[in-house]
Amino acid sequence: MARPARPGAKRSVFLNCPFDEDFKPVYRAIVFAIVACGFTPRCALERLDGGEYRLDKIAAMIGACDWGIHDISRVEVDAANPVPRFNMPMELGIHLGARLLGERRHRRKRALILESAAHRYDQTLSDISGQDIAQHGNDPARAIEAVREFFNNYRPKGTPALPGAKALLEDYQRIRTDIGPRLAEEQRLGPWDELSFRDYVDLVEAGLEVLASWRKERRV
Amino acid sequence: MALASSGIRKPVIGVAVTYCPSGSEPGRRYWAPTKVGLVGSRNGRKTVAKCRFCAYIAGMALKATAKKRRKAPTANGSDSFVYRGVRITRTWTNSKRRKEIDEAIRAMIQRGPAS
Repeated sequence: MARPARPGAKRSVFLNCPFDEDFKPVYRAIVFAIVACGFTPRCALERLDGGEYRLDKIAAMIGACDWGIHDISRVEVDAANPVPRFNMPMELGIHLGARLLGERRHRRKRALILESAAHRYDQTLSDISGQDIAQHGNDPARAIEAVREFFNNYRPKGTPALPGAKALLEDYQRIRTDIGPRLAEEQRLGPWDELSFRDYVDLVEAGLEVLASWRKERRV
Repeated sequence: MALASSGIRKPVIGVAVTYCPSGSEPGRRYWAPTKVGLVGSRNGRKTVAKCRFCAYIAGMALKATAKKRRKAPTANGSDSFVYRGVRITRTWTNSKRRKEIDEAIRAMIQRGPAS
């Protein structure tokens, strides 16, 4: 199959977050918020190629995205994982490194760093203590709000404000509980909760288009 | 690739199927997942391909490849719509699947929300 068409770097967001089941509600909310703000999410899950080195793929994606959302809330230990995972901080480092040391086009990169709790990063990654970090508390609603605030703050002068966090959350719930599962079933893509990254993004875009039409016809 | 040879002058990114010209892998067929198309001034606006085995970078006319790609059952495309004042642009390659999704969207719009 040919590669999917892609938007330019200015509308592409590299998503660096955990993909475990516990984090899935937050991860899916973030993907929704990115699409609803008019951007295209990209992450390591979008392309599986056994012949490609993962770090090469990630670095290429970071290079191809002007925006990055990095969640470092999973740098922790628990009963199942006696040592913390450092993939997310490393990818954040690649993003910051590209911005600081890369070619001129990389200097326009912007990053949203997400944590689960305030100042937790002081203990795990104190080098970024001087930077603004948003907290989501593992709550999808707060994650949507943080992503919306991030893109709204950087919107070009003269453009209208993005929809509010509450409106986005309502639409997210409508897509999550009604439109999305129905579309997934009709398209025979499998259960809504088990969609691949690419299928999920496609159905979120489709869901937003359905909602836009319903709103136009005043059905919602 | 199809776009590269079809008169569109913008630089395009594509995937080429061709033969390694360097001789290190003589005649070996390979997929070159690399930038193909009209590239910038550094390379003098020419079509380039890179061998995945020997990293040979060559400027070459990929006309035969372009003809093959033109017959491929997929096509790039995009459309956009306005959601709460934000323009959402959808892009895709596989037009058949996009057609199915578009039909599903139309059907869903007609049916309306679940009660």
